Amino acid sequence: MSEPSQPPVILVADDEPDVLELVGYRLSRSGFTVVEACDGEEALARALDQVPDLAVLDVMMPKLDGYELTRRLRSADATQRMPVILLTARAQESDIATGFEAGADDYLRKPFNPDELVARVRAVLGRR
Amino acid sequence: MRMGLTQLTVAVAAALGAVTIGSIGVTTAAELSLRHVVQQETRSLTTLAVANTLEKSVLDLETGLRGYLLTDQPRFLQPYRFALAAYPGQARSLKALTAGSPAQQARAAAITSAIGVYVRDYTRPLIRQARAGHLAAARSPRATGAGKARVDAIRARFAALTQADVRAAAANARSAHHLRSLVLVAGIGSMVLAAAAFVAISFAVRRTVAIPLRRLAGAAGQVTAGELSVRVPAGGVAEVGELASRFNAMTDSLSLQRTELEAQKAELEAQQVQLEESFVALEERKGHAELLQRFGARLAAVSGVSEVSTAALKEFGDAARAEAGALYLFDERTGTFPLTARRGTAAEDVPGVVREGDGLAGLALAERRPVTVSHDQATVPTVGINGRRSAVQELHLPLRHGDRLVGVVSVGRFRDEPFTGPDLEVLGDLAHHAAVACAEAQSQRAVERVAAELAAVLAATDEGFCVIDKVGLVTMANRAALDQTGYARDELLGHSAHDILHHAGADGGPGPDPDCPITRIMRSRTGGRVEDQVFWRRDGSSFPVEYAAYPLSDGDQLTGAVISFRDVSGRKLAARHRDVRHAVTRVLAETASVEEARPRVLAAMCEGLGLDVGLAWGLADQGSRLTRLASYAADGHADLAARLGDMDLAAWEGPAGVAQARLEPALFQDLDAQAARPGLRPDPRLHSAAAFPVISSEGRSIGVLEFFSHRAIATDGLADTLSTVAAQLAHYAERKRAEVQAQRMRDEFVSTVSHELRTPLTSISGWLHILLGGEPGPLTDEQRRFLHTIERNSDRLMRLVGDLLLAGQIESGRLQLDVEDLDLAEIARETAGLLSAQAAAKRIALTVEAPESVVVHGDRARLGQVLDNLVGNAIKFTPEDGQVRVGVDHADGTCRVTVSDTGIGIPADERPKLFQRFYRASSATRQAIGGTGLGLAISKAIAESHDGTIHLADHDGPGTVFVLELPLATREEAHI
Repeated sequence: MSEPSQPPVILVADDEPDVLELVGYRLSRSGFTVVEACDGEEALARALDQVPDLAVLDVMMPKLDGYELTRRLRSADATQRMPVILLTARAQESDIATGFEAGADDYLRKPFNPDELVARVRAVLGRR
Repeated sequence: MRMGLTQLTVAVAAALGAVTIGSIGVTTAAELSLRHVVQQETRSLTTLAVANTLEKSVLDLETGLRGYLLTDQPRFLQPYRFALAAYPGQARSLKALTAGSPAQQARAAAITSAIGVYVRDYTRPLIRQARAGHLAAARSPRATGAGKARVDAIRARFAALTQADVRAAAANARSAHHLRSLVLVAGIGSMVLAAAAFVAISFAVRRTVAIPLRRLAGAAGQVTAGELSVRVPAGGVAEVGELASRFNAMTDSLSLQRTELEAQKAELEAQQVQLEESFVALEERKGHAELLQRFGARLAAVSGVSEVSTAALKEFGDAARAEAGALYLFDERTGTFPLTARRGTAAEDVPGVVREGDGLAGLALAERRPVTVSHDQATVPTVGINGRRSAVQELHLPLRHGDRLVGVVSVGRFRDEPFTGPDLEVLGDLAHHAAVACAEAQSQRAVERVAAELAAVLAATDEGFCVIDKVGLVTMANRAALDQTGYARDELLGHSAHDILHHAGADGGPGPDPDCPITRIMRSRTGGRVEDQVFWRRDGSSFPVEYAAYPLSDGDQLTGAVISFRDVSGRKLAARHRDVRHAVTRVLAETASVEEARPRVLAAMCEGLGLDVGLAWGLADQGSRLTRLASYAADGHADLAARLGDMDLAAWEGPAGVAQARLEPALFQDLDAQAARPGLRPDPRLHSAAAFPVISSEGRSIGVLEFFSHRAIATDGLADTLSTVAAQLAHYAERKRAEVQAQRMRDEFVSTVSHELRTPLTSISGWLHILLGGEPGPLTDEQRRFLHTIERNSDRLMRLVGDLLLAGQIESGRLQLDVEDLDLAEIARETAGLLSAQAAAKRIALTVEAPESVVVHGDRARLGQVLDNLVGNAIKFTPEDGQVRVGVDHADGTCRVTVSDTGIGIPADERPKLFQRFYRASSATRQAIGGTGLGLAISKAIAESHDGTIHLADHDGPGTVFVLELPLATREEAHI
């Protein structure tokens, strides 16, 4: 939050357009700049291209899933320290563990309260 | 009274006797007189001789004396001495001879006396004188003259004697002549008399004896010639007359006898005729007997049912003079009489099989009697031999052996010559013979069949069989007996079974014959089984055996025994292997993972097969090396197991490496330390090893099991067991892998479903939230109410998805608990708080009665879910203005949560089903109260996964009481 005038850029990736729009609407209405991607590869490209302040990534995406995307981001210099919040429809605890192992900073189960997402994003950004 | 032949003979004999006696008497008297005369004559001559001798002796006396006296030489005295010695005897003889005549005797006595005087008075004195030297005196003439005188006197006396004697002799001679004449006259007279008597007698005899006898002889000749009417007169002497009358009586008797004889002769002739007839009959019988004998001989010359029946039919047909024929024999298996032989017919002309009562042959069988038929007379259509064509006369005879029907023989004649009674008699006998022969052939065939079957069975069976005689010598041994013992047949037959097979016990100690169970069983006369003994092979090794012995007897006499035996070493080992396989199966059934199974499989195999060390190897470096995964060591082998297992193995290194390289089991007896492991120092506990790969269904090795033993590993059945265990392990490993894979797939599915369900719900609930938050714009009350309805149903759908996922986890046994110490009282209050709005909506009084803290060990979210479910249900099923009460307490280490309501309650018959998945109470469906039917099932599973229970409490009054019981964490914690 070095410059308050410049709202943080959040990369939102989900193959589900309805969810993507929901998250985008909520975050942009909450004052973030939202960059949308509808699959993993696009998300990776945008992340590497624009280096957002935070990424909200769906786990189950075609081409590149959330876990692998997180690993790639962690292994790229530009995005190595970029916070990642995973959205997962998976119920299992093991899925969540996998997410953390891949390098995610937080996770949120679907379905989620959009206000909670905003709170988590702010919390993660606040940690940095 | 006629004079008899006897009287006549006596009279004639008497006359002849008188004449004879007379002549003999005269002759005898003359003879006696003559003999006397001769005696007198002889005596006279003797007397003369003796007298001369005596006289000579006197002369010797005188001359001897005179010579002596003249010569004075004593040798001249010798004749004197002899004469002196002889004269007394001569004198006595003379005296005796003259005894018949006193005159002569007196003369003899005088002579004797004179001699004595001469000797005494003259000679002796002279001799004495001479010896005294007075020879001269002696020689004096006086002396000599005296002597001479004396001698002359004596000689004179002799002369007198001799003359008297001569006279007597002359008289004698005259007397003798007279007598001879007399005898001659008497002899001639008697001869004349005798001749006369003979003539008289001959005449008389001829007249009284010879003539009647000649007549008799003639009559006898006539009788001999058969003329029995002849008679003779009874003349002649008495005996001849009697003979004649007897002869007449005899001829009478003879003629009577001849009459009888003629009658007997007639009778005999009649008998002869009968005899000749009998002879003819006998000839027939003989022919019959010869036929039977020939028949029997022909049948005896062949063997086999077919040959015997063919021969029997041929002979039978010949005897019956029948051109066609067929023979049927009983077949026990079908109960019918199939054709076994035919003659003069084609097969299609005769029935192939006969049944009792069926056709003419069947009629013969049914009625057990011969059946004859002439086809001219046949009134009923009959199935004959040779069809309906040409057998004009038929005979069907049952073949019977005792009461048994052996078969039936049918013969037919093409010419019209009926079978007669005699035919039937002969053929009946032949039929009987044929029946016996066929029955014997059938019996023989049956016996041979049984014997062949028995031989085949004995050859085929793997059970060893020996037959021994009563002293225990082997008389039969089958193939299996030879195989098992290793002996050749010749080496067993005729030898003592005990000495060969059973001479020692399992420990090698001697097994004396009297203790032998076979001997005991034979003696007991009942069969018996023996186990736990050994037999000895030819090569000196022994094998555990089970055998049975059955005594054989002939009547009361024990003749031997049958011994049936089996090498059970394989079976005993097989039992161990079976146990091992079962143990492995059990281990695999009881263990949840390959890791857990490995050491237990090793232990089961080592303990079951008596192995010391077991190692399980897995593949590393893409299968190029083996790495140890598990091990087992028997007591005292831990160090060895550690040394054997502390390195990885390359291909061909150690038994495991060999098995892995070969992809098949490897067995090492007399194992070298280097072969066990490269660089391993020798160890006496390493003797043998076995290893086998566990091969997957794709044919790849997925690991190797390896075993070591300090003694030889029994190979029998080992390969089976190893392959079985390997297959089990491979199957187990693959199953576990498949289970893991299936679990992964299920997880994948759950993830997918949850994603697919939650993603749309995310949009729905998210946008609802944004709408209700008023951000897009203000909402009318009605809009807000509708959106809340959407939100409520969205939440319900969300819970349903959660419940379904949870139910799936529970079902797969993979309900994961995030366990911690937690305060159930607090959770109860939180739950009540969350549901208070719901309760309030129905004006239901929701109360919680709980101590400050009740700590249990559990998953907060799940236990919260249980309470949420129970309390939620209570609110749902309780009418408005009711009560729902939540109570928490604890006692005896158990925490107890009760949820009671004043609702509609649950009918008793529904209570048992209440905790089943998808079950919904009738009240719920009737009142359209929502629910999935999963809540209580999930609650029950969660309670049980916490070692707790959930149940419906019995209680009085309306409503329902659910009770959740969970163990307290600890008593102390419960009071914190």
